[in-house]
Amino acid sequence: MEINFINIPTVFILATLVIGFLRYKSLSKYELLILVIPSLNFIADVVSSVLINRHISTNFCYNLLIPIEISLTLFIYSKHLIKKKSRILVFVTMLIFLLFSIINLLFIQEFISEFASYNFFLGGILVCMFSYLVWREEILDGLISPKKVILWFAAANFIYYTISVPVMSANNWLVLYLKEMAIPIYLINSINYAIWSVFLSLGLLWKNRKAI
Amino acid sequence: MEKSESYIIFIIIATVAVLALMIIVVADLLLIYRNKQLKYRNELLALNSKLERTTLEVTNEVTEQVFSDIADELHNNVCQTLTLAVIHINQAEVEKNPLPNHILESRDTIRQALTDIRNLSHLLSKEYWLNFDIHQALKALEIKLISSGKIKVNFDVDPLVKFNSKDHEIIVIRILQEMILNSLKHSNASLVEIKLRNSNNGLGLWYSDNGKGFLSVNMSEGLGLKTMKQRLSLLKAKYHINSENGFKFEAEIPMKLVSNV
Repeated sequence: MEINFINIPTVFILATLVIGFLRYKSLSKYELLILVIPSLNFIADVVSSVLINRHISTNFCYNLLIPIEISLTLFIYSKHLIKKKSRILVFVTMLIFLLFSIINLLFIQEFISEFASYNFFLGGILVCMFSYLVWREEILDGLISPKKVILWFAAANFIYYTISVPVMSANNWLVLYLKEMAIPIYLINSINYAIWSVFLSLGLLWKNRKAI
Repeated sequence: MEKSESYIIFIIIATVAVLALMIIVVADLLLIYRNKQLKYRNELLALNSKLERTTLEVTNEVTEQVFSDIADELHNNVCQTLTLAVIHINQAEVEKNPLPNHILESRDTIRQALTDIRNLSHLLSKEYWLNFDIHQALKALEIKLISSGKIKVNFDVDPLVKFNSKDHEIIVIRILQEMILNSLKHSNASLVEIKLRNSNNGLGLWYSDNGKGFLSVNMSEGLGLKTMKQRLSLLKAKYHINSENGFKFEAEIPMKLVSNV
């Protein structure tokens, strides 16, 4: 039986969801909202696996997922940030990004045949910036604690998007001009994706630990 | 522009943007670290300074308490003993008149010692310091120095100068006593000038003598100068010492002064 390395991160995502389900009682409303992201990822992965088997392009699936996932991430950040100015900034940025994504999908990049790399690029950079902002506020206030799921989530996002933005920006070019390189690039992204879910799982596991 | 080229440009832009973001994050983290380090260093310095001040204040309090205890002991015990000795001599004089001259001289010496001890006890007592007035003390010091004939003293003390803290008043007189003692003992000075005035930021204190100076008589690290510096730090005073031609000292003591005007 051939192992599909690209789909292995889906198993990690499933594990994260299981941990989240087991720990859901200890999670706050907005921490539970974080779990929506791996859930959406899991659904998108399962759907795209089915579509790949039927030789149908999966681009539209991720083109839909990315704006929702990134907007949701920014929304969660806007609820967790300490300073009011930062909260407003993140929320407004989220709305602008959402608007840009819709315009891009409708008028700039192809919704079905092309990966919406502009959305991923802009969203990724924004998530990186605001993930750091979340950490920065906690560092300045001396409130860093491994029991905070948001910090694990922000760290996971920062690592994932700093690696994936350059990698996924090359997606369309590789598909068109250097198909043989697309698989190793996807593999990098898959490992990155698995790291993201491991970080989130660690955050969820740590949340329930009693204070030492 | 070809589609391939635009894709490549986009890849370059995305990579550069991520790299720039990483650089900004690292630089910002370094800045935060540096600022935190500076903040902790300042806090540590402030704590050390506070600890030093508290130690000095406690030392000062303990010293005053010890002085007060010695005063009580001198007054209640030593004076009583000496008085008893005088009474015994008086009794002996009544019983066996006349007493030999050396015994009568001894009685006078004991009486003199009694007076000296009472004065000393008075100076060391808590009550004396509670009712302490720097103007009176300086006047007494002036009279004492003039009557000693060893040194000429010029006092220029503004009568309007009034402290709002007895502790500060005591510290200032102790500093002056220390300097006068050094002028007499070590500098061989023949003239001392003391000036005490209200200044813009509190109180100005000037002291000078025409002696050899502190540093020339190896007093730079001496106990007297060290104690004086400790006392000045208790007052948070800015001071300057010049010891080239005699001893010259000037200090600005930042304190809330009460004026009689």
